[in-house]
Amino acid sequence: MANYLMWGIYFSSLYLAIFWLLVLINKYLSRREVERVEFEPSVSVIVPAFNEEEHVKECIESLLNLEYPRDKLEVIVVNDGSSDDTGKICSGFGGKIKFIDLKKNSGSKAVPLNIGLREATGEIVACLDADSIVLKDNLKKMMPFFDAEDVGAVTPALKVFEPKTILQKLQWYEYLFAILLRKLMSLIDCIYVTPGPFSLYRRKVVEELGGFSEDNITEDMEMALRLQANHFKIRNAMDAYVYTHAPDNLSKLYSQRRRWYQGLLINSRLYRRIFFNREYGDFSILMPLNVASVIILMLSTLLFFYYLFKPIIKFVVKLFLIDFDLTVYFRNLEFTLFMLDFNYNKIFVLLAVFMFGLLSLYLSHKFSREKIRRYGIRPVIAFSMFYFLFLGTLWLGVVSEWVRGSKIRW
Amino acid sequence: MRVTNTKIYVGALFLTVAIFVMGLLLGLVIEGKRVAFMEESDRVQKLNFESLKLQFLYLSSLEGRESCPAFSSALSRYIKETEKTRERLEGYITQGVAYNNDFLILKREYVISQLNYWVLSKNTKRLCGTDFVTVLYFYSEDCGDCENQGFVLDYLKRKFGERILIFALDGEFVEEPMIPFIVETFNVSVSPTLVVEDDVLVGFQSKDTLIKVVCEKFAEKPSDCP
Repeated sequence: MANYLMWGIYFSSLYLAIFWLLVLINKYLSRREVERVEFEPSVSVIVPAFNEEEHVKECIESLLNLEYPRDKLEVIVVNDGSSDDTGKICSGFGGKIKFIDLKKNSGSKAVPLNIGLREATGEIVACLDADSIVLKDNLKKMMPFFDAEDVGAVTPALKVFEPKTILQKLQWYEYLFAILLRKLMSLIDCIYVTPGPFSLYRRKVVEELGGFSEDNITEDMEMALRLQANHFKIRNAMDAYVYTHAPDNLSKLYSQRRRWYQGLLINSRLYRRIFFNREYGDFSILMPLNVASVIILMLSTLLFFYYLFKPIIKFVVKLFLIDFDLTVYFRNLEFTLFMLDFNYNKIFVLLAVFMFGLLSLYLSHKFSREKIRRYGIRPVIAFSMFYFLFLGTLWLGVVSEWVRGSKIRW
Repeated sequence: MRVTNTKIYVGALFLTVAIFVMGLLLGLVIEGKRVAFMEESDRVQKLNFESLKLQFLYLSSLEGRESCPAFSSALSRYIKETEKTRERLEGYITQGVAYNNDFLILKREYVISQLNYWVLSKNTKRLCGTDFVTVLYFYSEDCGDCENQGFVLDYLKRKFGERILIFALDGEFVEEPMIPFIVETFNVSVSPTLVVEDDVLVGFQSKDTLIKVVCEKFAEKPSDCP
C-alpha cells in the first residue's frame, strides 16, 4: 500500500515540477519587457509597528532614502501600542514622518494598516513591515508594473537580511526560491500573497474592497485573494529587493510558520469558491494546486520517515537476535557489488529529484541575481538535502494543531 | 473570462506520463537482462552439479578417502554459491513486473538444485564421514519471522563456515512438485520451519537454541560451540 502511495507522490511531484518548468519556458522566455513608462503617482507608505525597537529605525530611514520626489512620498508610521521604545524612536523622526501613536495593541496587523490607510493621501499605498528595509530604487523599479488600470497590486522580491544563524541561512535559500516561484506565478496571473514587506496597492482599489481584513491572521494573503476574486491583477517586480529579518531560532520560526500555514488553510477555505471555477482561469486551478502541493509535501515527509526508520528498526532487531556479535562478519569480508541488483526504479526517481533540485537551485539564484556560494557550500548542501523534510515536518505539526482546533493569534 | 492555459496543464501531464513510461521501459529492459543473467547462472550451476556428481561417483569407486576433504570443500562452496544466486533470484522476483513466468521456471530449477545438493550432502556424509550438519530451512512469502530467521541462519553460516550446509526452500512453492513432497515428508505446516539433520524445529529459532541443536549434531565440536 505504501508502495502505491509512493508512486502516486512521485507522479504528482514530477507533474508539479514539469508544470512550473513549462510555465518558465512558455511564459518567461517569451515575456514582454515592461516599458519603463514614466509613472510617478503620489505614494503613501504605511508602517505598522509593534515592539520593533531593534529594527524600526533602519526601516524608516530606508524609506526616507527612497529615490522618489519628496512631495509625492509620505511615510505613515502606526505604533500599535508597543511596550518598548518603538514609539520613542518613531517620534524621533519628527516632521519627516506622519506618526500615529495607538495607546493599546489592536491584536492584529490589519487594524494599524487600516488606520494608516485612512490617513493616506497617495494614489499608491505601500505597506511595509517594521522589521524590513527597502532599497533606494524600489519604487522606481516597481511603479512601471502598474501598466494597466486593472493592476491592483505589485509585489517585490523578498530576501533575508544578513542571515547569521544556520536557520536564517536556510531561509535565505527558501526566499530566493520564492522569488523564482512568485515570478512564475505572476506570469500566469496566479499570485496569492501580497507580502507584508513592501507590497504596493492602488489605494482606490483597497478602499473600494473595504480595507484589510481585521480578523484574519494572514491579512496579506487575504487581501491578495480578495484582489484576485475581484479580478484585479497582481504583478511582480522581480528586481525590487526588500530585505526582511528572518526568525533566528526554531521556536520563533515555528510561530511564524504556524501563522502562515494556518493562514493558507483558513484563507483557502474562505475563498473556496475560486477552486475550479472557470471564471477565474488559471487561478482556479492554481489555488487547489497549492493545497495539493502541501498535501504531497506532508505525505512524502511521512513516507520518507517510514522508509527510513522501518529498515533501521528491522536492522536493530536483527542485531539483537545475534547479540550484536559482529565479529563473524569480519572473518570473511566479501563485498560484491552487482550492477543488476540495484533497484533502478528508486535510482531513477532519486536522479530526477537531484536534477530538479539542481535546476531550482540554479534558477532561483539566477532570478534573484545571487551567487550560490555566497554563504559557503555547506549551507547549500544542508538546504538541498533537508529543507523539504524540514518544511514537511513543520506543516505536519501545524496541520495536526489545526485539526485539533487550536486558534492562532497574532 | 480569465485565461486558462490549458495547453500547459495538458503538456505537463503528457511529459510526466512520457517520463513514467520511459522509466517503465527501462525497468523492463533491466528485468530482461536479469532473466538472461539468471538463465546463464543456472546453466553454469547445473554444470557444477554434474561435475560434482561425477566426482562423487568416482570417489565412491575408489579405495582411499584422501580426496574427501577437497570434495567436501567444493561441495560446500557450490552450495553457498547456489544459495547466493537463489537469494538474488528472490530479490529479482519481488521487483519483477513482466517476466514472472521466466522467473518461476528459474525458481523451479534452483529448488531442484538445492534438493540435489542436499541429497548429495547426505551421501557425502555417509561416504566420507565429513563432519558437517545439514539444515533445511522452510520459508514462505507472508512469514513475519522469516526475515529474522534468515538473518540468524546467515550468522550461523558465517560462524561455522563449511561445517554447516543450509538449504533454503520456499515451502509454498507448489509449482515444483518436489516441494509439496518434501513438505509432507517432514510435516511442515508453519513458516519458518527448520530441519537440522533429522530434527524438525517448528517456528522461529533463536541464535542460542540453534547453536545448541547444531552443535549436538557435530561429531567433533568446533571451537565456536559452547
